[in-house]
Amino acid sequence: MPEDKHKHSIDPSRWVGEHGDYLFSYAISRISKREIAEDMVQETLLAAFQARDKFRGGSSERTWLVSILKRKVIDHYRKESRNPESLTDNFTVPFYKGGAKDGTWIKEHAPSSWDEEIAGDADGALMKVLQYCISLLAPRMAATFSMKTLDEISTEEICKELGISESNLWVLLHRARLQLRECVENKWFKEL
Amino acid sequence: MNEKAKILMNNAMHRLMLSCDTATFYITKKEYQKLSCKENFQLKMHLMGCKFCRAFNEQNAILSDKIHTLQQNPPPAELSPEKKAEIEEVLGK
Repeated sequence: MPEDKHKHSIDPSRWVGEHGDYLFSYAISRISKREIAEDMVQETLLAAFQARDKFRGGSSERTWLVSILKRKVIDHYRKESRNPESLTDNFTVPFYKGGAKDGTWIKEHAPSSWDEEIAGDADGALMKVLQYCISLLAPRMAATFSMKTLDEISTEEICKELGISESNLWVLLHRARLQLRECVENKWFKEL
Repeated sequence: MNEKAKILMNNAMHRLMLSCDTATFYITKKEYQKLSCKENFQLKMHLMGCKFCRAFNEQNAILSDKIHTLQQNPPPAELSPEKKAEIEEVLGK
């Protein structure tokens, strides 16, 4: 069959070698759990293999594979957030509740100042701490945060996929940011 | 100022003043969408007087920047050789 030179071609035998690690780095930065991320790459490549006739060559092979993986990641989030365990959340809101100090920072949870040089993160160590802290977020919070922040999915779609209300989404994002900030500060600026 | 005016004044101020809880909520929100003029004004007022929320604001921006990098260039990670072999085998069938 003559190949159309202007279109991207497809070659499943090269997938693992050329895209395997990239797809895995995409998955692990969103899923945090190594085994699940690996299985997800496998499922993606299998699904792509079965659908290879549908590849039209309008985009590169990698873009096409990532789009399949992205769908798998969202499906995973949806399943996770339906799990009752995903509601387990040991996060302490860092503000006083009620009383004269209602809504103000509890001293031991309030932000300290960060060393500017470290915050510059020339060697990427802060990135590792951040990834570790993201992995500690409760599943539903992680799903909401990741979909909104890393994948820039619309609020409506996230609410639909995860079965949450819009105000719930904002509460989860707020808490995720509070937790990430405090976790990074504790792991990085205080423990090192 | 009479008592009634004082109470009205206090109520008005109270409605404008944000708690740290709400201020950090607005800081989170503005990472994703524009705040309304009122929200923006209230946040600015709060930040002027609150060093903790100013720190939160700065640190949150640093984290957003890192997250952006994470999105654009996820740090290289490698599939285990076992998994690669497994996938190759399944694909080869």
